[in-house]
Amino acid sequence: MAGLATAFSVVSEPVTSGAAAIAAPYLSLVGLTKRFGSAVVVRDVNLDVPRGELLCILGPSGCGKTTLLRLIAGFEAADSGSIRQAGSEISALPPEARDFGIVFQSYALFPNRSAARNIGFGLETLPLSRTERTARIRELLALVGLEGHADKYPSQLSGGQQQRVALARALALSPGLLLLDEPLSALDANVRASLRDELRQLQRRIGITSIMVTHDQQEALSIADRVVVMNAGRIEQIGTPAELYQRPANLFVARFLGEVNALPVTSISGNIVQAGGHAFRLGGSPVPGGSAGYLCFRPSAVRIGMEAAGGAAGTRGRVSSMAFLGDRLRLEIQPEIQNGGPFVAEIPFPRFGNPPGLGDHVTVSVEPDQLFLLDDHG
Amino acid sequence: MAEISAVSGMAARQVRPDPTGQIVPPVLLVVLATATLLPIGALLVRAFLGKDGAFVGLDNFLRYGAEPGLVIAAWNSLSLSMIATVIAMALAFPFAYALVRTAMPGRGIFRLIALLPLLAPSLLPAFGMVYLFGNQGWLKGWLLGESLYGPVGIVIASVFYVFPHAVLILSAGLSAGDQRHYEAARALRAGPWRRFVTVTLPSCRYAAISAASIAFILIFTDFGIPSVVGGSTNVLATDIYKLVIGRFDFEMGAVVGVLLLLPAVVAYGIDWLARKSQRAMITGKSVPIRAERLPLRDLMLFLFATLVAVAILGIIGMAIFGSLVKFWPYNLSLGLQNYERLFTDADEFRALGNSLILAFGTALAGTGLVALSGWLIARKLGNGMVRNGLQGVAMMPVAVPGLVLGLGYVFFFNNPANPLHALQGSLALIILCTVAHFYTVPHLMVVNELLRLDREIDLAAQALRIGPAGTARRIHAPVLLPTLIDVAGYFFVNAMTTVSALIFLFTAQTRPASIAVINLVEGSRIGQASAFAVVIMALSMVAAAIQLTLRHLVIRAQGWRRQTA
Repeated sequence: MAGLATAFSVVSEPVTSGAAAIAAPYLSLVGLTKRFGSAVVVRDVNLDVPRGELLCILGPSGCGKTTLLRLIAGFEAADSGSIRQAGSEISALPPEARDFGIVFQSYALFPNRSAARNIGFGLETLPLSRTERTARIRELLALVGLEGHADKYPSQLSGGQQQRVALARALALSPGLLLLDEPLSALDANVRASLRDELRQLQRRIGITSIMVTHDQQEALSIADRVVVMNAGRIEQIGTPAELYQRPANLFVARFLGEVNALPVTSISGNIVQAGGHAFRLGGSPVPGGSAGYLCFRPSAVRIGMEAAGGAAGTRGRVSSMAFLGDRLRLEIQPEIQNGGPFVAEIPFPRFGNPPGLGDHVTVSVEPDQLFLLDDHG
Repeated sequence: MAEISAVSGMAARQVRPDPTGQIVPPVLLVVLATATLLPIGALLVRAFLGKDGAFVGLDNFLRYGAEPGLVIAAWNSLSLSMIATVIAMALAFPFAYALVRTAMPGRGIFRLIALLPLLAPSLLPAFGMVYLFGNQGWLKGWLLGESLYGPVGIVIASVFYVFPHAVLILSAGLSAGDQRHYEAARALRAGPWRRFVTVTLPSCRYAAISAASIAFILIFTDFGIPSVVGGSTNVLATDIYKLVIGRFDFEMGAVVGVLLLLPAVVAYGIDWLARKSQRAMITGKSVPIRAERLPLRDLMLFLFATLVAVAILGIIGMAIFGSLVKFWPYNLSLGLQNYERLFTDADEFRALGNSLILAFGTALAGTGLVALSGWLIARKLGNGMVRNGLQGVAMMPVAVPGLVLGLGYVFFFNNPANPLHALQGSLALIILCTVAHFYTVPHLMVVNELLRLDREIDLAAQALRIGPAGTARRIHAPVLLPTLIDVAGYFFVNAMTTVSALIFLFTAQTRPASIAVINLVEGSRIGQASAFAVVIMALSMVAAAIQLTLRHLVIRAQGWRRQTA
């Protein structure tokens, strides 16, 4: 949206994303829609990706995120809408005429080819001499840190190594766009975290515009310049990881990015909100009254003990269940007032003083600036 | 672009479209439909036409019903096939169970012996039986006065014929169970017998249904056995031959063809349903079965398997022995005169040459076609409707008896209006018919092998600007190579031993060895017929040995197949 406007105006608009946006976006989707039979899998998607950005598409399974990626790659044809890449319309082109590299969750390595020959697959049809090709493959192997593994076959490589080969293969033709379809989901937790960081560094270093699909919100938040949250074929929200986490556009986004307490709002006056049987004082300016919805806060925003800094002033409750999460304690609090809904709190562990025990009576409060009002849909 | 350079020549490169997916599937569909769908259609139509080609409704069927002899043949076919199926299953189940579920010694050898008859024409066991139980057989008394020639002979020889097929299907089904079910049953304190009844039997019931259906189809449609040991007992498979070749009553032949086709289609439908349910029972997370050691059971099954193995080797050995005997049963000294005739008589020698041409031609053409159709379907190339058509045409032959297919070829290609009329009487047409007859199993072998290769591999190649043909050459072909060797071996052996589809198609010039065997039987030259059958079996064994060696060498040469990570 910003891109099209600035292309023709002298005054540039403020940049909202974390990455540096150049005048025209590198990739621009307008009104993209895809149906399978009667099911609308991707619904009227509009999205601009500036050059050099790492964008994550995040959503639950079946939300259409992978289909969206396949539309960009050309593996699926859109029913309507346009895709512009580097200034030209590509939505009618077959995949082989587009300019992208792709990495799949399954690695999709050629089983009968060594790491080096997997990486060199796309180079074989180019007018390159053998020396040039070998040099290029060596360069790519070094890029992903697999110098010593050139002659190994996929079956002789670990999952993490296989995915590095897949990445190097995708970059072999120096594409303008890198597509990543759940590239880390098949890996063990430890390998996943380290490869995630490497992927991020590599992407920054070569500055390639990248779109990564994932269902793992932690992965998306930790790696992306911006995150697109999708649900039922629609974009729910686009923003930086911090924006999304702190200011979710609706309850779906809030819930998808992490656990959240959502208490139904019964009334609002000024900045005092009645929700779930409690009274909360919001931080910031008063809210225009009347709009029904939910009062939300993260479990980590709940303060337990004596300090009643604001929020639900004077609320008392009983610890009705407890779980130990390693560095935190997860408590379920049953308020002592009539019709008060239960909510979840997480407190650091170990902490100063004794932690509350099961059945203990505690006082509960939430920082006013950690409270937000949300509707089901934004 | 900090550390990584751009590739030179990228911009200049033109993307050439790869038309493989648009051109190949429709062409292949036309070829395969010509080889299967159209001839079968021609037969079905003929059953409702009169001599003059006019539509006569069910007249031919009424004419058939009015001939008591013919109706009895239909009853014989049904009842004898069912009896033989039941006996074959009763023998094959414990045998397969002993092979895959026990610690019985010598399982590998027993397996080899059980599969041995696959390499011989279906007639070979019948010859062995003639020498043992025939009118001048050594063990004639074992039949308690019954004659071998008739229902007894048909049933026993049929059991031998289908035994290896049933063992193959049953052992595959029995080895696909889940070890955890047995561990759960043990935890619930079920003893061995209870575990067998509550876990093993239910888990292989679909394999049993499938094996029984296939056995029934094979027996019901077999021509070789009843023509050797059938005596005066008529069955549909011999009737269709007599009606067409003896009486030139093509319309009635078509009627019998329909009668052969219907039960086969029904049995195949049952088999298809059973296989679908069997697949649904096996999940990717199943823990493989570990055979349990139960000394008493294993001993009993060992004795049983030994008995079966002795019977198989005895029958085949008897056929070989008989072929070497100078003049059965009066002069039992051994000699090669029965074999000499095959190489000195021009007609017999030509038949041997024809069979080799047929087998090589079928292996070559069949492997090529199957590789193409399996590849198009597994890798989802081209238009979806064309692909569905291809899959349908490729799956059809398995349910069509060879006799029906062969007669369909006569109706379809003998028609002067057919532009392919010129093929009639040629070895090329016999090769086409044989390829079509055995198409389904190899087609599925290719599809299944290629389905194991991730679909995204093709997409990755496409993103690197290499189209389907390029990916086929670079990736799919090397992966598929060992399977193609098996496919070629399958086509070769079946082409060497098949009879049914070809009895309507051969001429004096193109007659293959398997048909020559039948002709020798008709001339009461059992010795020479046995010798010919033994030669066919020997050639099949050589082919099988070459197949296994080649496959082994290829797999060893493909270093990427070794798992070391």
